[in-house]
Amino acid sequence: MSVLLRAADLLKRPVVTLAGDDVAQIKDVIYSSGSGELAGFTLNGRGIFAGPLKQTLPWSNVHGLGPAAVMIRDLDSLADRQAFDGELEGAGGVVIGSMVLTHSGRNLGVVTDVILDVREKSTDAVGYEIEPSDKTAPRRQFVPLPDTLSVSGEALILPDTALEFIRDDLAGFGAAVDEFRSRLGRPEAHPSEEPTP
Amino acid sequence: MIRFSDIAGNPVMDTSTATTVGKLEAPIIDPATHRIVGFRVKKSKGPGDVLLWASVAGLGPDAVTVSSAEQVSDPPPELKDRSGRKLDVLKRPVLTEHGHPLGKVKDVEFDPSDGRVTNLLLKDSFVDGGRLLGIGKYAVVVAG
Amino acid sequence: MDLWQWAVVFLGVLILLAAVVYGIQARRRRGSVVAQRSRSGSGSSGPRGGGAPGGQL
Repeated sequence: MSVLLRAADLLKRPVVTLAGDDVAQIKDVIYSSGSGELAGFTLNGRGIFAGPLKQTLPWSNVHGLGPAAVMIRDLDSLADRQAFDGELEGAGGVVIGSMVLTHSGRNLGVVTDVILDVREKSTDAVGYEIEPSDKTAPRRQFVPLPDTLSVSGEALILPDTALEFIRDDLAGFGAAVDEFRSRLGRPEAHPSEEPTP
Repeated sequence: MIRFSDIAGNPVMDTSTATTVGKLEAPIIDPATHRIVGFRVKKSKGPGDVLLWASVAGLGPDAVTVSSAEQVSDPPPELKDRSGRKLDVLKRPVLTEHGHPLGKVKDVEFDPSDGRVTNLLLKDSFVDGGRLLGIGKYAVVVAG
Repeated sequence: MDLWQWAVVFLGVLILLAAVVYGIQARRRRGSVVAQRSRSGSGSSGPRGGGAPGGQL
């Protein structure tokens, strides 16, 4: 079973131990720009004067991810900051607000959110919610992500085939992602979309 | 089975003097054993405000009886936090271990013979007491 | 100044200080969705990874 959800919905969600204590809340949602796999979360303290915590929460230590809370077994589930590469400030960077470009150089719009596919064992970033640059298009669109993608703080590059799989609603989006990826996976599909410099 | 709401506020009677030594305020539940291990008592005339389950002489529909006011005393160290107001189970939101909200605890149903919690009653559903995993300052966590 | 005037000034300063601390912490708390560059040599140089430099002008 898999569930699609918006990464930004996770921000500020409390982190609760199985003993019922809220020990933190989600600050950043971090995913690998290479594989799209969700790496984990950085954390804030609870309470109105609390700042960021030194600890982080790797995805592998998450016990359950629900609409009301992110559940962990106990405080030992939190890791220190080294759990993530320490490259957070580097070439990856904040995705929301980035421009989405296709390989052929078309600007699709600006990223407003990242769609996560929550499965039993792992969670992947599978798409972006974008605000299209084309003003006649619907206010929100969803574009699928290839299995691997290139991201900088500035722009995201997608293959042109992604255009066919843009959806206006989340409902049909899961199927679109699967189809898009299987299309990319076909060996003969690759050379045609590789731009010749 | 009885519900805590049936006995909440009932007097705690000292049978040696036939006087009221307090009123039942809240159940104290051990989430590990799924049992009521005692009650917090308000307006206590004893040395503390916790009445342990083992010290209850009788649990009737109209009163709880104890052998002396001394039975309402300070909790043992391991129950000090557990018996405090900050970890009361009533009115606390219930989460599943997967982070789904179920609602707030309205009432607790338990077996009067041994204190075993049979059900947590929520607004329009109930949760089997055996599913209890933890009672913390943020939520009651249940399995499943 | 009377004692009560000092008390009002003191309270005002306290509230201002709390607001400043809250503001600073709220800014530090602000989170986002972050793409992390994968570890070097983590094997993620798949078809897209290879095509990336050509796309990033």
